Amino acid sequence: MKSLLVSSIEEYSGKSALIVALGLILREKGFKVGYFKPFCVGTTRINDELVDEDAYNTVSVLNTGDDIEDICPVKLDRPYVEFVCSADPVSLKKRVMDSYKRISEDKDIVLVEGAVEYKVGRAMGLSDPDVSSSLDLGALMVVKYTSDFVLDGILTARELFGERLKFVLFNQLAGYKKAYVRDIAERFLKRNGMEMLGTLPYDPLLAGLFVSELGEALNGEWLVKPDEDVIIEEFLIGAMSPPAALKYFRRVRQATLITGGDRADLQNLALETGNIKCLLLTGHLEPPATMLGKAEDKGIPVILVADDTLTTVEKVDEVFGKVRIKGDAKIRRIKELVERFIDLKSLGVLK
Amino acid sequence: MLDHFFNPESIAVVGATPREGKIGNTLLKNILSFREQSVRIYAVNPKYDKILNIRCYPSVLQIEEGVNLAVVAVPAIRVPEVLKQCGLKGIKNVVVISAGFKEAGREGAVLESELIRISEKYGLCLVGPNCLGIINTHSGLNATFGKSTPTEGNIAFLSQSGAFALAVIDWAKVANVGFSKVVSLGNKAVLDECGFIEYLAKDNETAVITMYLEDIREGRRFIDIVRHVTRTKPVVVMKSGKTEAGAKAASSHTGSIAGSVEAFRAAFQQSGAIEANSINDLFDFSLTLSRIRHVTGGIAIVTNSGGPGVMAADAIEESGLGLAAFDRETMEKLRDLHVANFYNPVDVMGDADSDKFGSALGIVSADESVGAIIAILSPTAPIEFDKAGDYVLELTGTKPIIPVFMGGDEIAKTVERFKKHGITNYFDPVRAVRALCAVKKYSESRDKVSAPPYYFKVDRNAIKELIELRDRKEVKRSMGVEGFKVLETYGIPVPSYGKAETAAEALELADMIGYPVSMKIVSPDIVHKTDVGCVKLNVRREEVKEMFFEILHRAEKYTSARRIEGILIQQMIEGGKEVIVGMKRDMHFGPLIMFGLGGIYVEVFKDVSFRIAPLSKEDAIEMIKSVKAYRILKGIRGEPMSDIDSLVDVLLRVSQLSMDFPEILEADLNPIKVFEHGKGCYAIDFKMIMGAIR
Repeated sequence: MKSLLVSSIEEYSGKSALIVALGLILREKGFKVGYFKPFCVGTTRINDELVDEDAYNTVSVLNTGDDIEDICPVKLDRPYVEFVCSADPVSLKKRVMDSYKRISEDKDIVLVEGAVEYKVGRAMGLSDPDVSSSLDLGALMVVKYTSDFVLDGILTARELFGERLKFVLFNQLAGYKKAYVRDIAERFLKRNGMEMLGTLPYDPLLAGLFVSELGEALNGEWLVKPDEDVIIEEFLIGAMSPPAALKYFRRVRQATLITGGDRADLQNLALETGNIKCLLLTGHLEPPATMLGKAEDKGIPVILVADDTLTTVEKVDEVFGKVRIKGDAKIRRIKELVERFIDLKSLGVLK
Repeated sequence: MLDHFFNPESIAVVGATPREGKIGNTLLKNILSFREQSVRIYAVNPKYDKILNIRCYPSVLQIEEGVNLAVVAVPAIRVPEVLKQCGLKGIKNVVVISAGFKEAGREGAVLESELIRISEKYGLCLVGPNCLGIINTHSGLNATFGKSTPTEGNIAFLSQSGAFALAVIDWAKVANVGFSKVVSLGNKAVLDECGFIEYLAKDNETAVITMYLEDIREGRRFIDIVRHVTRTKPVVVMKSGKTEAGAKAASSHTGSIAGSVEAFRAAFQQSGAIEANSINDLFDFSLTLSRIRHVTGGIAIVTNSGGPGVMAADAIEESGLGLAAFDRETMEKLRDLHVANFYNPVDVMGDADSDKFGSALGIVSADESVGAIIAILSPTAPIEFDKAGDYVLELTGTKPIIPVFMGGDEIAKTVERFKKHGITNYFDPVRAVRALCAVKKYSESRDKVSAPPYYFKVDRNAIKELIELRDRKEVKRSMGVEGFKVLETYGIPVPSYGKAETAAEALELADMIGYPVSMKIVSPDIVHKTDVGCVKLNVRREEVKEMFFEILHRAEKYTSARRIEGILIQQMIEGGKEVIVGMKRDMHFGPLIMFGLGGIYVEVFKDVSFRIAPLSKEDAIEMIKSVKAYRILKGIRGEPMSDIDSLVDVLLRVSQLSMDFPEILEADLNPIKVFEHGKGCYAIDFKMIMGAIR
């Protein structure tokens, strides 16, 4: 049995998405795949049960058949400071080890998901390097390429993980920096005892948000309900004249237009361009009935919110930064990307 | 088939009612006043057996005879059912007066979609919904719920606003303006202006087609139809919603979307439609065009008052019409008449009587250089307006003449006489000049030879591959360096170039191209590269790497690194004059091609011209000639003339590219450097926005 700890330098780097894709691919190849998340920080209540949102999503896709209490043995159910003061690191470690044992018993491979980022849980011996050491797991670091300085972050992590940090995967790498990847792999990672597993490009669909998630997050009123729950990849703020707006409307795709309810000119224009998939109207200003009729006809949802445009943009921005891999389209896409850009043989699991 | 709207043999009024003040009642009364006695009129309403002394049927299906036209005024929710019954009955022409459709909201929009579906199923011609109705003054048909019926005339009026149509009909009676047909287009669910323009082109009772529109949905069809129609009949259009505020208001009113003003202007210009900017213009132009179709020659002004003569002269000069230069014989005759000024404007002086004024008109009208006359009179003591009016009326058969009899009570009787002869009198000489200007525009566009679009042989498959390749990349909407390949394939000259992603690649490329080079950022987010310091010119070998890093450094302050594709290394092109060629796909009319003087001030001076693709060679030449900068291209102060032929070539090739690839939504070739005649031009930079149209 081989297992792999998937860790990250910072939060929202794409660990869960990668695990979902790896799990599906390995299962297709005939492996019995397990999933384990030792330290669950992002807890929420679903049907009165305290669950980790990421783990909940992953389990619902991979459906590994294990007890959720074993998959998520330690859940942060109180402020971390309280947790550090009250919990016993030794018993926590034992709980993690026991659960892992049960999970891994009948599996060919267990995909272990790290906490928010690799240092989280260090105070309680639950950080990714601690788990990697206690369960003797090789680690893969998912690195969101936010700036060139992430390279320094990898080295710092390597100091904590030691030789167990074997693989690095760059996520959301795009643009001219891709040309430097070969040099990074050769000159930097290899020199420091790590191997580059591959790079995943930035993908707008994966970074997108379901229109239902948008409506829910903003607590908006549906003036026109969506025919289907489409994915919104970006948003635009409509404050300009229609001819100027058209330029922007054309450059986007799968976008939401955030504009005042009184801007019928922009709303009607947006409905015609085909790239705007949702209208988010601000200031609690009811739009004209003609526009709503057209939106209904075209199946484009319209959400009315009470906030002003600026506040709405801030809220939308925040929701966009925390998207999860949900829904068939996104799952299909991440699986395609992993199959296309990652050499699974170098992980060793397929050897 | 549209003829049954205007000349039906039988009409069903669905929703007719005996209740006074209701639309269904006024409508039936208006229709019952139809002069054609042979026409059968049926009232339809399940609640009544008889209305206004005619038999009333529960539905059109119960009418024993055939019906040509149904006019429907029932609540919106019942219209689909009525429409189905019309379809089953074989009624092909239906006017839906009822409101409560897309203009009323979501439920209305769904209902309107249903109307469209039913019309398609039964092959119905449908006017409306949400309209005033239809009028044919010559047959006496008034299928509207308006209180008045206009008088007979030769102007057909189409209106997208029912209320405006009502106001015009009411005003027209006072103004003595007659109409041949009136159509209130309403929501244009099925039939729009295009079908009616085609019909009215063949209508012998219509001399001028006049329209008030808020949108034109089938832009291409509109241009084709109007271009054809204006060969024989003038089309005058008032299009509202041209400003930001206007577009916003129109959008709320009819749900129309704001097309670009330039596209509408270009469409009107290319199709030969005369654009009116006010209600005064709309009817001044239409009335004048209904009797005057040519102005071949200059304009003569004959006046008894200097001031208004000067006003008219100013307006003529500004409009580009041109004052007539009289021949010697005319001037001698005018001198013999003892006028104050025997040049143009002719001032017969304040003490002149009507005979002297009439003699001056006669002399001027005989001059071959005179294309039209503006006859201006102030109410001085010696003037008898009736007599002066006679002189004007006498001349109308020989030369276009527009009276500007200024005054109130004094002129009222004469003005009424003019109206009876279909002649409009203007108080303001400027309005008279504007009307003549419309005539000139019409005659020029009508006589213009219509040349076919120009096409080159190009390898379209190569572009298709490029676009598909681009589609697989992350930045799909904006064409990167591949755009140069597109231009090259279309035969548009570009300097040698390449894209570098690392400093080493930049140096390698620059070595190949030769020094000095220019270096520019490639990113869909950075449109105005110079503004953010992402363009370096005249770069030498030893500067390439340093500039590479500097451009990236500046660019990353502006956008994320993942939105930067690399750096364009390009052959440095020195000299030449900068122009711009652009293409913007208008939502109504398709590709709109733009030409203007280039450089960073293009947006300030807006010295640009527009035409809708496909362009003919004549269109392209006209575009270049119509910008003020044309004089610069021709060469000023001893400068050599620029290679204008090469620019015509670029315009035609961009036009063809825009027609061949609907995926390209916008393109700007800016700057294009043009050299002296025979030395061609280069597209130095470009911007291309891609869409997902397949």
